[in-house]
Amino acid sequence: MKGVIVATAAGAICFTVLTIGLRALDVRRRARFMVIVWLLMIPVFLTLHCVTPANLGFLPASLTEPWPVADLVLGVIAYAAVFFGGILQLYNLADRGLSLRVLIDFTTSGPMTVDEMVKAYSAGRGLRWMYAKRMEGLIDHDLVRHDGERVALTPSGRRAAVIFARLQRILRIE
Amino acid sequence: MSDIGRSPTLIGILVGVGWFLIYLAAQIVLFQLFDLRQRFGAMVALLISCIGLAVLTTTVVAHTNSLDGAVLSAFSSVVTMASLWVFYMPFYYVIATSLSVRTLLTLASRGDGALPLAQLEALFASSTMLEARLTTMVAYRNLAVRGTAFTVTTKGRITATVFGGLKRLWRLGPGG
Repeated sequence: MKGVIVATAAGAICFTVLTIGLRALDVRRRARFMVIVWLLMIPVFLTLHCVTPANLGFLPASLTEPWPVADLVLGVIAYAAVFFGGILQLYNLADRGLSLRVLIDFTTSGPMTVDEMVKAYSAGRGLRWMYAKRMEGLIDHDLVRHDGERVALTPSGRRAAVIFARLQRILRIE
Repeated sequence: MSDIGRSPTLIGILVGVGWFLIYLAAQIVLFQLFDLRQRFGAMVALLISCIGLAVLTTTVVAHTNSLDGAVLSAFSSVVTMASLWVFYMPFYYVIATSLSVRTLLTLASRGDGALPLAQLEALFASSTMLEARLTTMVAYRNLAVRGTAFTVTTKGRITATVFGGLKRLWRLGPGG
């Protein structure tokens, strides 16, 4: 129990630090920046876990783990989940989520037809801008390359496609 | 070693990992056998069932081994399963909905692994693609249809407001 409480506290500190960082600095690669902040906070989490008593001064005996290493392992799982499943996913949704962007555009601009939304998407940038952003990401990760007017898979892109196709078959995603 | 074997947290973690693997297997079987419309709802229902069974397992293990800390063991199994699930779900959605993944698969389906950019844009930056996404959002009650136009529902507006606040807090710009 202690590990989870300490992980939550460390997660809150991580959120605060990266929020200050994102507001104070001109961060270009935000996801990378967030991961770095999370990594830098690991010693803080470990220190908090080491210096605090097993019952944190208030936990009953029934919720106090006798073997500290097991409690630390659960804390690490929780700390990773708070970041990778929580904070980083919030960022991904807020910065890259197509559905979320559509919701925000409808909220700010009112009812629209599909064709109007194609142009109004992302405060007027349009759907083509959105796809160009995805394409840029694929090129940056060496998964595709421009070949004149065409877009072609790179060898690593072909390998990734094979893996994704298998996973889609396993999960029956069409 | 016997002390380690009597750690309620460790037992909870191991039970949680075990039941999460069973959850994954059950999800694959479920998706293979049934054509589910609301997959997310099914995944949540399945997870809750597996968490319930994990708690039951830790309780049985604690009682049969006269172990103190049955509550701690159950709590640890729930935290472990919930953590593994929040790791897994973004991965699932990347495979299921990512335009980048769909682009790779579309290119791979061509013999030479290449397509004109205009053709990819027609597939993934078109009104047809967007209409399909808006229809899904209507099914999840984030949007409603009024004639030919779509409008945001109260549920969708709340989501937009919360994330709009986060975007401002982190100075993310329009994004999307």
